Order: sequence, then C-alpha cells, then structure tokens
Amino acid sequence: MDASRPRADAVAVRDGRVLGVGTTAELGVWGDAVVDDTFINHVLLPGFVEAHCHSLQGALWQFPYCGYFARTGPDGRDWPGCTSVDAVIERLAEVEAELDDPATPLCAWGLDPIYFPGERLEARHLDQVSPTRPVFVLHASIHLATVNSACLAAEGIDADTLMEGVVKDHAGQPIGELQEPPAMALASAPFRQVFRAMGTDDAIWHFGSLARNAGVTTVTDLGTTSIASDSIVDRWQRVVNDPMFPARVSMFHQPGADTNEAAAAMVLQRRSQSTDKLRFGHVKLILDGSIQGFTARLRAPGYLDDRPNGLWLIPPEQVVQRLRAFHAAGITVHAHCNGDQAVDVFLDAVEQVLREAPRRDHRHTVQHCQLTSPAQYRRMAALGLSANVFANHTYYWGDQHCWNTVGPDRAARMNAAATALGEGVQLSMHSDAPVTPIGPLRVAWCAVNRLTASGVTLGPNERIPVEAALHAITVGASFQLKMDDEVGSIAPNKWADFAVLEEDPFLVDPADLHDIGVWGTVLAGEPRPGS
Amino acid sequence: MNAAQPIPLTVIGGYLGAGKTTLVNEILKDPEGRRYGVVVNDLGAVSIDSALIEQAVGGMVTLSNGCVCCSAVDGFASALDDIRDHGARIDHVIVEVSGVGDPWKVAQWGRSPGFELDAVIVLADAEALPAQVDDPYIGETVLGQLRGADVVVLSKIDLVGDGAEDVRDWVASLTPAQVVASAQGTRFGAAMLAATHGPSHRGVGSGSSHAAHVTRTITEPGALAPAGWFDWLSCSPRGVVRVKGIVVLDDDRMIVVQRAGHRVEVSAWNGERRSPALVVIASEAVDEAALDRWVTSLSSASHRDGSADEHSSGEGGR
Repeated sequence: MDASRPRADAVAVRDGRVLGVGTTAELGVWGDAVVDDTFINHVLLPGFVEAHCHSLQGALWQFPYCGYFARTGPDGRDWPGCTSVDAVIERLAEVEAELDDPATPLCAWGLDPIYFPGERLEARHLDQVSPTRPVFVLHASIHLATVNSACLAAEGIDADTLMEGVVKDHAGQPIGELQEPPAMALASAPFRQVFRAMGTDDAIWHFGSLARNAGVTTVTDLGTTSIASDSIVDRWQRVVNDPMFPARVSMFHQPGADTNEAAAAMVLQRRSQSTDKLRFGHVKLILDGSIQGFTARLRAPGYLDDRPNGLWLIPPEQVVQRLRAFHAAGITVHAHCNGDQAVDVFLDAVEQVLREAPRRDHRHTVQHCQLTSPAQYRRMAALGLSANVFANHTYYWGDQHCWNTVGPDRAARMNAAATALGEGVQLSMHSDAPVTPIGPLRVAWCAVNRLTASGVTLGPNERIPVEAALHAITVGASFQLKMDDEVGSIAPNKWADFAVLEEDPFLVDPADLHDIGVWGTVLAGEPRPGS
Repeated sequence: MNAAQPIPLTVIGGYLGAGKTTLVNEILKDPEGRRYGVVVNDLGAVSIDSALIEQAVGGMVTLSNGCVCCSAVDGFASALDDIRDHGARIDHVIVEVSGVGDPWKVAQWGRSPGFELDAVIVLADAEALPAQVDDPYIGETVLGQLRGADVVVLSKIDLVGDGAEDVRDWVASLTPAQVVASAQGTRFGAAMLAATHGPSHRGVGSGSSHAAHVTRTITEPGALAPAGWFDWLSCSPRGVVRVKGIVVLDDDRMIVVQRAGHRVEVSAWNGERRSPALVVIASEAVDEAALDRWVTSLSSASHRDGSADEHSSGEGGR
C-alpha cells in the first residue's frame, strides 16, 4: 500500500523492522542476508489495521456462539450460523452434552432474533437444552438475554417479579426473555459469569488470536476497558507485551461524565506507559445508539413508522465540554456517531474547540458515520476530521435498513465510502467486533460489492475500488490511530508487520475478496500462523 | 428496619441544570443520621468536604458520616454490588441518573434482590423547561424523563413569576406524575427522601414546617382490606406526593404501603411486629383542610372494622 513501490518481490527485515522492499538483488546491498522463502507461494500485504473493535469479542469466545451468521472462533473452529430457533436449540444441546458439572450455567452469545421474524426464543425452547441446568443466551445487541426455566427457578424469577424487562405471558408468567441490564442481572449466576469473563487473561489472548487469524497486526480496544484502573492496565501490559501475543493493541479511554483536565492528564500519563505493542493516548466518546436498535439519533425524516428518535449517551450541549479538555491536551478523540444528527452535534463541537484552540493534525475521527451526508463529509474535510465507516452493515443489516429502519433510499446512501473519498476525507472501515466478526478482508469486500445478506446490491454508486478498500484497512486505519509512520504499509523503518494471504486481492474477482485464505500474520518479522 | 428488609432505592433524574447534584450534595452534607449510598455519574461533581472523606478506593468514596458515594461509570450492577457488600448496612440508596438518562429504566434496578424501588423523582428547571421540551435535539429525551417520573419537582418556580400555575398545569399535562412546583426544589426533594424513613426521624412530623412541604403523621391508622388501602392511597387531595408506612390488614397481617406520586404499591412486611404508622408528605400548595379530612377518613375507616371505605375512584397506579 506504499504509493512509491506498491508491489515488490521481497522484503528485507532486521530487528523486527523493514530495511527495504525490492528484488532480492536490490536488497543484497544490506550484505549477508538470509533469503527466507517460507512465503514464496503467498502474498504479503501490510498487516491489516482494525481501527474499531472491542476486546469484548475475545471475552465472548469463552462461551459457545449461536448467532445467525457463521463465525470462526479464536482456535479456528468453525461455528456455522444458527438460522432457526431449532438450530439454536440443537447447537446448545451439543454444547450441553460436553459439560460435566450439572450445576454450571450454560452461557451462550450472538443470538439475533431480528433474523427470525415471527419466532421468539423462549424458556420453553431452552428447556429442551436442559430441564435442570441454567441456560443463559446473550443476544447480539447485549441488551437482552433469554434463559430457561431452570434458570428462572434458580434465580427466583417468577410471576411476582415486578421488574419491567421481565417479559411475561398472558397468564403473568415470565417467558424467559430478560430485557435490559436490570432484568438480565436478575439471572445473577450466569450474568456474573459473563461479566467475570471480561476480566480474564483468556479474553485478551482470544482477542489477539482472532486478529491474527484475520491478518490483523494492529487492533483497537475502542473504549471497552477502563484504563483508569492500574490493575486492568497491568493485566493488559502483561498479556500484550508477552512475546507470544500476536498483535499490537491501541487502547482508547472512554471517559465518564468526569471529563476534565485530570482525565486528560490520566490519558497522557498512560500514553507515557505505551510500549511497542500496547498503545494508550486516544479517547473515545459515544454520542448515540445504533440504527438497527432504533437508538441512533437521526435527522428528519427519522425512522420508518414514525418511531421516536433515538437516545443520546452524552447530553448534546455537553459534547463540546467533553471534547475540550482532551483537544486542549493534544489528545485525539474518536466519536461514535451512527445517526446523522449525532454527526451534526459532533461537528459543531469540533468547530467550536478548533475556534478556541486551533490545532493542526488533531486526527479527531467520526466513528461509524452510517448516515453521514455529502454536506457533512465536506464539513468533515474542512475541519480535518477522518471517517471510520461501518462498511459491514451493508451486508449484515442492509435488508433490515431497507424495510425496517430507514427505507431503501437512505439504506442505499448508508456507509457512503465513495462519497467520503470523493470529498477528500481520510477513510478507514471497520467490523465493530463483536457486532460483526473481525475480518478486514470481509470489510473490504462489503465496501467493494455492497451486497446485502439477501444478495441485493445496495447503493451501487457508493461501491469503492479494491485498492481504495485495502488502503482504508491499512494506511487509512493506521492514520486514525496516529501509527501510520510505523504500520499500515511495507516501507523502510516501519514494523515488519504483514498479513500473509493465500491469494492476491488485486488479482481475484472482487466478488471473492472475502474468501481469500489468511495464513496468518508476520509481527515484527516473526511468523504468526493462524489457527 | 431489620436486615430482612430491602434497602429503599430512590432515583433522581432530570436534564442538565435541574439541580440533581445540588440535591445529592445536600443529602450527603446532612444525612440526618442515615447512611445513604449514592450512585452518581460524576464523582468529581459531588462536593464532598475533604475532611469528611475516610477512604476513596476505586470508584467508591466512604464518608465519616457513614454515607458512601459510588461512580456509575462501571455500570449500576457493580455499583449496587459495592453498596450491598458494604460493611455497614446502607439505609437508603440514591441513584443520580445522567442528564440524558431515562430515570424509569434506571429505576428498574430498584426491583433487584435486596432493594425496593422507593420513588422516581425528576427535577426540572421551571424556567428552562419549555425551551428544552421544544428543542429538536433533546425534546423527546426530556419528555421521556418527565413521563417516567413518580414525582416531578419543578424548581426555580419563583423565577417564572405570575405564570407559575400555568407552567405547573402544562407540565402536569405532559406526564402522569404528580407535579410539585417549588422555589426550593432540592429542599423539597430532600424532604421526600427523608419521608421514606417514617415518622420517627427529625425534620418530618405532624405540622413540620419545612418551607416547601407539609407533612402529616398517622400513628393509629387501624386496619383495612387490601382494596381499601389501595383506594385510600389513590384518593388523596391534590398535592400529596408521598405516603409510606407499615399498616395492618383486616386479617391482622402487617404490610408496607407506599405511594410515590401516582404509583401505589403494597408489599409484605417481613420484619418484627410493630405499631403501625404512616407518614404523608405534600407540597405547600395542598389544601390543608382537605388533607386533614383525608387523613381523618382513614381513622374513621378503621372504626368500621376494616371494610373498604367510601372512596371508589382513584387516580390510578402504574
């Protein structure tokens, strides 16, 4: 992805860094080089950079998966999609049969009932998995869970439970669906089990393995983990700096309401603790919710069926105040804005802080950018903002956006990568794992083809060329992390971080981009075979 | 209250500038002998006198007056766990919701084991509210907060001048909640919180003269059937915002009755037998003669040996 030398036969590496690219003869100027032809039948790309995903993905893989789309676990095990309620039950029954201790709750994740119109997973279904062992299925949204009767009984959730979110039938009995955290927390044992899983070494190791298996050498934990806590940061330092850990990680800080100079100072202090592999120093803000959850903040004409507008996670008038302390301290802020109204609020805030404290090369970035308009992209270009577009949505929810959320016209305009590039905005694209699986080649495929799950080409004018898509998942993403001088392309002095592919993405049919096999990665010159 | 009884949990909501943090600060400054556990969004905004701080570990600050203050940054589940596991038993939990948070959603934590939902109080700035409700960014959020309240406390009502009554009526048309207008909204909120702990505590008692509210204590409420209690609780004069107490059913069982705004709830009393008592709190706008008639009707009802009294229509519960 280096414009000066986009293709080469060989790369010379010393002490983890690139000496140069070219022919073996050209690279001979470095003296007694050992020619390593391990990858003579592979294609090396710059290690992919995933600039928006969450370590929660690694935590969840400590549990079986039962989502609609096929996924591959960190150990390389393929988990076919469960495309019906029966398939979910079958999957969980298989897992149940492998468990020994009959009292341990069975927790699973990834269920998305949006794909089962007319059907609803209930306790009575999960009772087929086990009448005695508590079963807890976390939905893909993370806002809901479905449990079986054994779990309801063990936790004392019954007709007398007053809490809203405990869904009941006509007779007043809970059906097993627990909506929102207060109700989910009633299923105390499995709820705590899932939460505890987030604070384990395994969660981080799984996260690294998933990245490596997808050709990713630099990954983000975008505000999932509190870096204010020394004990949490100590764990991440221990795991990520382990020579065996297969990726670099940029950990963003997500501040609470207590944004001020002290919070900025904490981030800067963490930045000083960065290592070659573990980086601190950037901040994430979340302005709104999600479009498929109807919680993103939309401009008119809003959601279909006159649904109410979404939720703010930060009071709009406070966004500027939250941004200000970090902006003034020279920190880069990435703002989650799914809806176009949230983008307006963030752009206003950026314009204001830039007026107060002009700053070049801030690299503030709008994350998701799903409904961003051409005028908003022009304004972003003028304000020096980058866009990290949620390209995978076209495939995973494109059909739902057409018919359930915003209608075909706006669905065709969503995740407008071509418009962003046309307006001169620095572009990256992401998976938001665990929302969709980590996999930059799939992200690129989505942006290049814009096919929905049902096979419709949604918004063909927003398709981008393969080269632009690959640029976005390498150089584009590294730019947004302020790591483009170190990773993102194969060039002298950069880290020898490569994605090792079975085929050349510039030569395959663009419709097959996501099917290219990934051997693994090379991290700082060390081969890291995938599992 | 003994250890078997759940800890009351009160939710304080409302948009920015409504006075939530002021209320929390008032309570922490003068907890009147109770140990409050306060869950806040921004520990930094709580003005805790540094001399009061005994210990600050992680997201939890312990005060020498027995109160604790927890950050909600890591989620309500862990904050409530911290409070439940706190060495000294906490008497009352107060949760301050973020300025854009939905107080009724947060209130569901009050149904968690070990807690009971006390009241959802939404504070609103009477002067700023009309513009907030019309705002294209936050209008729906603010309306949702008002609708999720048991009691809306309109503060700074004195700044509205002659239009005060109109503003109160307008807000009442937006929400099923009881709407109380007060020049000192946060003091009224504090009085409502205190009322949760019954008549034995100072500051609340018959004829107490906190400027912003009126209270009545009923020490011999007698016995009623469950339906009779629901009816009596639902049929108060306008201005009654809070009723709480432990009373006797016509079959001699003891129950906890409470009303927060328009929401009426009855639950079993699991503690030791004690003499029944009720405390009533109303805004200063209440018709005191009507209040006394309503209170007296309860005593006369008990003389009719627990049969349901003459009230039949109510404002309805949630």
